[in-house]
Amino acid sequence: MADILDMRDITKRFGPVTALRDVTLTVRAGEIHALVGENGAGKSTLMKVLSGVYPAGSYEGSITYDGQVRHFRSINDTEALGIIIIHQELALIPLLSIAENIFLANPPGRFGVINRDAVHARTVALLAKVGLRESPGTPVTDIGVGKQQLVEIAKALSKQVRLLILDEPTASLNERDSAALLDLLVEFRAGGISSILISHKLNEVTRVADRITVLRDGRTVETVDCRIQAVEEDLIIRRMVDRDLDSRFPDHAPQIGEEVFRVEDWSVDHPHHPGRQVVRGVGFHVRRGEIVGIAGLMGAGRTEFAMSVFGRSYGRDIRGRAFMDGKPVDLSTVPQAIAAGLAYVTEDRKHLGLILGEDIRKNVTLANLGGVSRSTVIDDMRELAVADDYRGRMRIRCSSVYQESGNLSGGNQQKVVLSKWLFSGPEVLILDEPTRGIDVGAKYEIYQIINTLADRGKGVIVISSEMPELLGLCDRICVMNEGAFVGEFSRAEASQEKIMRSIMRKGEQP
Amino acid sequence: MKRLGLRSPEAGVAAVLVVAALAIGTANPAFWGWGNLFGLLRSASVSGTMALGVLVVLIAGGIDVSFPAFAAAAMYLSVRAAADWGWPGNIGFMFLLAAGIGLLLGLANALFVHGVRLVPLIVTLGTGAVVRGFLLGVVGTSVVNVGRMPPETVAFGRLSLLQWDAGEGRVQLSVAVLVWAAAAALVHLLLRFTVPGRGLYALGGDAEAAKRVGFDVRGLTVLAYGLAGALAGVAGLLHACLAWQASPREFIGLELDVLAAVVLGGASIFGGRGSVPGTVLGVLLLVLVNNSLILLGVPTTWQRVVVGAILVGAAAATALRERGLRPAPSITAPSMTTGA
Repeated sequence: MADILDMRDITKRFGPVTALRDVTLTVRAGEIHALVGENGAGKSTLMKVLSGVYPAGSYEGSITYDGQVRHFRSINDTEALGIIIIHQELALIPLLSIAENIFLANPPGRFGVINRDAVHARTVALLAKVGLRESPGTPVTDIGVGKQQLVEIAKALSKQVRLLILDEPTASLNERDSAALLDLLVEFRAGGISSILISHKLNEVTRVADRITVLRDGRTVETVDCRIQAVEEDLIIRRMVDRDLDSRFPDHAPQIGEEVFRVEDWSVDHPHHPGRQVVRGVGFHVRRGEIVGIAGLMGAGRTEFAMSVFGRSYGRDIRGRAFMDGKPVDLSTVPQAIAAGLAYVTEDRKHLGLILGEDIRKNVTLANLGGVSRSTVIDDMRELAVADDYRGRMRIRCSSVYQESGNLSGGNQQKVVLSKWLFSGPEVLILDEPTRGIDVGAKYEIYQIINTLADRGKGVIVISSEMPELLGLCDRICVMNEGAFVGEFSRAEASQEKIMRSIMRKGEQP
Repeated sequence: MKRLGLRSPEAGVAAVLVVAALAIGTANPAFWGWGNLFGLLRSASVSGTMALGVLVVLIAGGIDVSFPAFAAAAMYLSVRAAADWGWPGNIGFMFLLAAGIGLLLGLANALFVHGVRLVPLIVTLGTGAVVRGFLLGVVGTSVVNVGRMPPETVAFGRLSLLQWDAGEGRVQLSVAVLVWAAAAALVHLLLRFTVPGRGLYALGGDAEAAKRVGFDVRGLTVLAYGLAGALAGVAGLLHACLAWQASPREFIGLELDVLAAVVLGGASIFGGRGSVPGTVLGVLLLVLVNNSLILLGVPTTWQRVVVGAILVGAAAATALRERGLRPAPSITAPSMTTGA
């Protein structure tokens, strides 16, 4: 069978960060090729290189498609050749009809006048092909997300697709819709259409894929041919996470005390889709002096869980009970959560953690202005002293505390955010991706700060997508998937493979 | 203080103000007379007081174009009450009444902005039009002129802080300047030294971040629009006292001048930035510019062109200065943050 696509030695850098290094991917004509890997392994970046989002010249390596070396400059170039990508977040316009969405960019017609009869007729034909029984005139907002996915595929078919790329197509679909979608891919394969399927669900991947390419940390690890060798899920998981754990983490002997914080039966609905549960009746606790990690894939509900606990900053219809030191507490508003002794350090440091236009001093005291003021009048000298104190303790590198926080490096910004929350006097800190986007040296310092907090008897919860970080830092690791906790490991028993396995198998304990 | 350093927006406006004054003074030495300078301050006091309210709203991340209508309503209602019924009968109470009317109208703005989460520009365009319409349609269109003005207002308007006889006439520093200065001091203290003041900057700097540290967003919104309304009311009555007449059609189009002055003074239309000293300087500069345009015989229509250009130019300058301090579209590895 001939190759329709051959991507060779693709290297893609973003400034100092190398997102892809010598990645190779070949897709044969008429095959379903699965692409698997952890968050940040480089799957989406690779597909953006392929689809022309990152134009030729912005990466190294070569792309051969349909027998010719190609230099795609935009999505239009690739779509013209039948390479269609369907993103996880669907690109449909909610208030337009199915037919209007399918023929949005290039409707049939002449001289700019749309031939409505042709649109209707062709939509009916396309919907039949994807097995969607809906009237072409139905607005897409009125159909479920599974059917919307089919509309996207019909749209791809309308563009004479030859290579269909699906990024996590079944992430928000139920079992039946997922199965229907995968069957459709198999049907397309018989018709000569190749697919690249990006998925975290290994059972789906092994069911339909002809070959599987595993990416890890921006490199191709292996391409497994499912028709030659029987695929073991364990093998693929091992390939996805197999890396050395070096000494990037400070030593730490935990002194774990009494339980300090607990939630029971905690459920949260999506803020815009009432009834869609994002967090499903979870229970969770942390003890004094303990660092608990929450592992999971993007969209597992980790941030949503943390934010809903912290003063209902996310979601609606939040149900469940919370206890501090064994006593029930009301966490309905952010001030109540702060008063109860909680602090949530956001994953979105630049947008939600800091007021970038303000100086370090004002950012540090922002969550506890009461601590530097008397009957609402701020004491400038006291504020300055507090900010200087944290500048020294956290080793924030800056010209003075009057420096605007927007001009600081990522690591120093994170130290400012941490200072802000420490000054609010919390007993329990939730740190969401605390080292995202900061360099190795600063990471080490943040780890030291986290250890010191635990030593002082705080309960620390760390949400991280970097598995080595969780393993190196945490005394206990909970695994979250699809809004529920599906596994829990002590420091001794935790390993990357076990965590990944419990994510992939939805809670089946090893 | 770093913020008042030589590179701050305030220093920039101050420099332009000095240069403009020197230029005008060289062309026409009469400019430097006490009478002229005090006259400029007097004519700046009304829009200057309004500008303080607009400043607070801009810092909190909103915008207000309803204040000219609110000022007209507060002025006209309080003057009519005094002229027709002799109530409340005392200039102090009249100012309280005008401030109260402005406050209530400002609260309506806050209700729609926070309660219904509408865009502030739309809300204040609407409330301004509604209030102006009611004023003309229900209360009346007649101008209260000198003969019918309540005597206490006229007396207040004639009060001077300082006066002496110069060669060609009396030099007077109007009491209106004191009203403006008092309001400026009050707003400055609020913004600079209090927790709610810090909250206003935080809300405008990043509303979501402010929420996440527990600021009461509703309370701060009420504070901003309520204060803007009250200050507009005070400024409205102040104008009537100075002009010895009260017209319900007063202040139409003034939002352009006041916004231009506030933005000129370094306040950001995106919120989170601005100061009272900057705003005071901005108002003075704008009054100076308008004044010299009149002296040069430039027609009113062309003055609008100049003020409009100043508004856009000053806003652009602030925006350019701030670029890079806000989360811009990231050019660093998106796959590292959004997953691959």
